[in-house]
Amino acid sequence: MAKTFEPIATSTAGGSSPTISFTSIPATYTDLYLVITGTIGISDATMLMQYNGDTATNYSSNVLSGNGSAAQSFRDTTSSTMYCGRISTVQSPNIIQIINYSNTTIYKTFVSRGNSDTRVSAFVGTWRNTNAITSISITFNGAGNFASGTTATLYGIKAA
Amino acid sequence: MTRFSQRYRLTGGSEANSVNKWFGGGFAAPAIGDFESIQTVTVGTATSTMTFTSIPATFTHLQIRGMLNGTASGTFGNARMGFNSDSGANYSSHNMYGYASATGAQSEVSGNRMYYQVYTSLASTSSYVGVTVIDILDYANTNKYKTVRSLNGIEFNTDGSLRFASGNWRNTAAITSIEFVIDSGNFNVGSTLALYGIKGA
Repeated sequence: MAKTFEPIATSTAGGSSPTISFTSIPATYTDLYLVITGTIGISDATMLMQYNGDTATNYSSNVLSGNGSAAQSFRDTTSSTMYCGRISTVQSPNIIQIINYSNTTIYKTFVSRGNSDTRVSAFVGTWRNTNAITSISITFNGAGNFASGTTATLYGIKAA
Repeated sequence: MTRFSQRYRLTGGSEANSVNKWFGGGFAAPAIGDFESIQTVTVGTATSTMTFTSIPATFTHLQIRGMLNGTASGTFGNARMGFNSDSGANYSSHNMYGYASATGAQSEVSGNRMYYQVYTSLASTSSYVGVTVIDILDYANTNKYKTVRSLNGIEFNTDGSLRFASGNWRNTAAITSIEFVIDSGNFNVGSTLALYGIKGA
């Protein structure tokens, strides 16, 4: 009997890679819930996400941010990645929620929240593909690697 | 209007408007835990209303997660959320949104249902969906007006938006039913909302 909310996999960075990946994601849940907390060597980068190894320009995303003095928003269209979170030199918490990730009649959309030491943000992004999501790759827009100890835990949520 | 009890759901395709038993009909009972699936509503035939009924008072908080698609013309729209069939002017709602390069905030007072908690894609964007995660706090506490927060968005490359939203229902009654009413047209086949219960210690 499947649980309603359960961990699928956890990835802990060793400090030598700019990418966190989950593969062989089962289609047995309704939604995916990805928690990432960690650091990198540069300040306030945006995390980027791809599904199923698709590197073509099939993604778009919209970001809403506050930096302490102003609210900002922008959309990234016809892109090879989606903006999905924030990471910085201090611990940065992110929760990414991918709704109906294995439904093969819709394009896949996520919403997420991610904070750094200088910015609070929310994200929405869509992959224009109806395939079930079976793998997720996360990186960031800057040089360096995820610091050792950065963790990413993928959970599955199952509706009745 | 489409209503669903705890033990039934509408199914799509050739079984539209039929009901299948969750238990004994090939569905396993959800595991008992601190975060439980209570009901799922999936539209089998286009309808203007999606409803959760007979919500038990045995949890501390509720969460609704789902995706919505509408039949009306256009790119994206909204639906409203009400409780216990109350369509009086007893709701207030706020949101902060990002829309391409624009940001803004909106409010509605004395609404007849809560606003801003969900987006729907519409006819010209039918492969896309609006997605939402809604938290309903202390839904069964009869000493409090009920407060909601959500993160919801829609994105289809040429347009879209996301927003933080909150809402209040000025009523102390325990929430026993929740209805979503689309602004225009119907919810399209395949739209789905899942209701979960979160237990306190």
